[in-house]
Amino acid sequence: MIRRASILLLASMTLASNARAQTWRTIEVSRQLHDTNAITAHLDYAAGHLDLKAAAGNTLYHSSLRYDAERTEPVAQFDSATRVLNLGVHLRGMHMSSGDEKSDAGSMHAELSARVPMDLSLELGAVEADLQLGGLRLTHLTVRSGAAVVTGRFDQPNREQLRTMTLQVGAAHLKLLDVANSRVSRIIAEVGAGGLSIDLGGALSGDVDITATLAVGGLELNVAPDAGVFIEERSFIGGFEKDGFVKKGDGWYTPNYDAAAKHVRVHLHAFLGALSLTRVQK
Amino acid sequence: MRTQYARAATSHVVALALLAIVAGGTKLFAQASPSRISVDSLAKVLAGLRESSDSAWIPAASKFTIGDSTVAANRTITGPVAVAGTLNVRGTIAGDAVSYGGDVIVHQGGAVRGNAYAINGKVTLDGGTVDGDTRALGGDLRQVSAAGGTVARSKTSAMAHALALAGGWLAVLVIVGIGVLIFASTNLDAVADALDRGFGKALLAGVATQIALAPALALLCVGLVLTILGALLVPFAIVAYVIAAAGLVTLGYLAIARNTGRTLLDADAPADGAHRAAALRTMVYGLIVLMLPWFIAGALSWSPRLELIARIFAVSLTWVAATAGLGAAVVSRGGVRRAAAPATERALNTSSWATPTPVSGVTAARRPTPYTASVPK
Repeated sequence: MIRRASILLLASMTLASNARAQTWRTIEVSRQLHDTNAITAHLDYAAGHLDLKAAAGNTLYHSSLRYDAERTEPVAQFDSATRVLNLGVHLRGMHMSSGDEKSDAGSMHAELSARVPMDLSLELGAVEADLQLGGLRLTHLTVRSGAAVVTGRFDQPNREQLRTMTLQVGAAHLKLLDVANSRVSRIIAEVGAGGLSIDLGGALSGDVDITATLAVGGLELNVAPDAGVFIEERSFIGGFEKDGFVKKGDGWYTPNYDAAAKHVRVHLHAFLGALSLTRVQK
Repeated sequence: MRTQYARAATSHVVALALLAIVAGGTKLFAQASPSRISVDSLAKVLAGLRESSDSAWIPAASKFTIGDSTVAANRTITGPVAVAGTLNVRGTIAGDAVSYGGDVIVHQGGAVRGNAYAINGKVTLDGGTVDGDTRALGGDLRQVSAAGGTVARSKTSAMAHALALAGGWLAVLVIVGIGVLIFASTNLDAVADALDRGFGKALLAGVATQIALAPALALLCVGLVLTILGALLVPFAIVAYVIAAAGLVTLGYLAIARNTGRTLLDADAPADGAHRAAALRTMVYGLIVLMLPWFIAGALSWSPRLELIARIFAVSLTWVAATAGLGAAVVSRGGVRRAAAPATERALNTSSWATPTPVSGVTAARRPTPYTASVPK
């Protein structure tokens, strides 16, 4: 009896583990570039692996998706009237995540035109993402990540002035490299319980203002030594290490602040989170 | 005889589970290759595909022509142009171009004024232009999900899914049952005793408890809020309350399963958890019996009407079992309080009365009077 019960239990558990059927599909969507007017692009990717880079040639966008049609739904839509592009994958309703989620979570390779000015927003769920943002013409960039592990790079200079970069991190880890190449002037960072790393490597095109709100998570900021740094802090328990800073009035300054050609100003609101500042030339 | 039935039932459930595993891993519907596409098979495949919200752009099968096709140069055709084969565009299509089982190739000088779609194929721009999107859908196109998120499954897949779900629940209950037998066997005994003494009473108590659950939670929250400081505990209290209620239901359901298995096997109650293997055996048999209607309902999923009847029966049986179990758990205060009679019997059965009096002496106690259920003459 016990043996039979064991067999039954094993069969049931095996069956239960196979209960969620999978229907893997691929879809490739693209659109030729007909003009270079600005567009607004939303990329919403719920789960899986994401690669994003600048498109070569005469392409407005190109998306290559592998997805499980049982639980996800691809989105690829460009409204030529409003010039809004929606790309990505939505989850269908609720689904129980399994332990092997990442191994069978699908993938997306997206390319966006390097010839079109673009407001780009990325909504990332349980995603491993590699964002090659260099060479695009970004005017605004928003990255919202829930439980993602994201690495973004500006290996090449952004071909527009990036007016605002908004980074919202839930329980995710978001790492942005060579951000100075983005030609950003204002960064808004909101960190919940995750980690945000901003490397302002590359060539700063001007002063940068950073407003950072940290709940529990941390912000790692790397600024080249030749740039002057000012930090205005409002914190509860968290904060930042003040070694190497001089307090003047309402904020903390690096000694080279007045002499520096480029400045990074940080307005820090920290509850339990902490700002970690490094000064490494890259 | 009962044991034979139960064993047969176990064998059937195992067989069904294995069948479902095999069915789940077998590809039952082969995709038609372009050369073998018929109008009927195309209609069937496309109808399934078009149910999915991500494939809403696919035209109806009636729009398709079978075989390769070419739009000649300098010629304009109003779209959509849909072919089950390869579509060569050398002229202009004023609308969408769609292929199934082949490619859409837009040659030099060719133009598609709408979108170019390929199902089980690809879209190639060989010097031509497409005003809209190009889209190539491939991979596993057999099963599709209906709009709104509900999954439209094949009958085999639906049956496998239903059986798997029942099997999963059975597995979870057995695992929880093993835990209860290890860590709370006395509570389980007490709840089972309460069910033995009066199933109807337990059922009524269960119904009353179900009715009272929500108001009691509301009262608890109000009470905590009134104490000001306790208001901070409201979220924790709600969680604890829900967990406690779920625990009682589970304990009661396992007790019902154990009593059912005991009746089925015609076995005596194991004394004080001394025979956990026997207790586990009766509980597993009971759980199988209680879950059997769910397996039957799953196996009948090929027939919606029979499945509905089976599911109604399964829901009713489960509700009665859970409610009576909850009632028994409440009556026995989660198995903490045992009725006098069984406790007395157990006291008489234990050897504690035969142990010598300690030298230090003990407080005099009255020996319990044996319980008899006989009617006084």
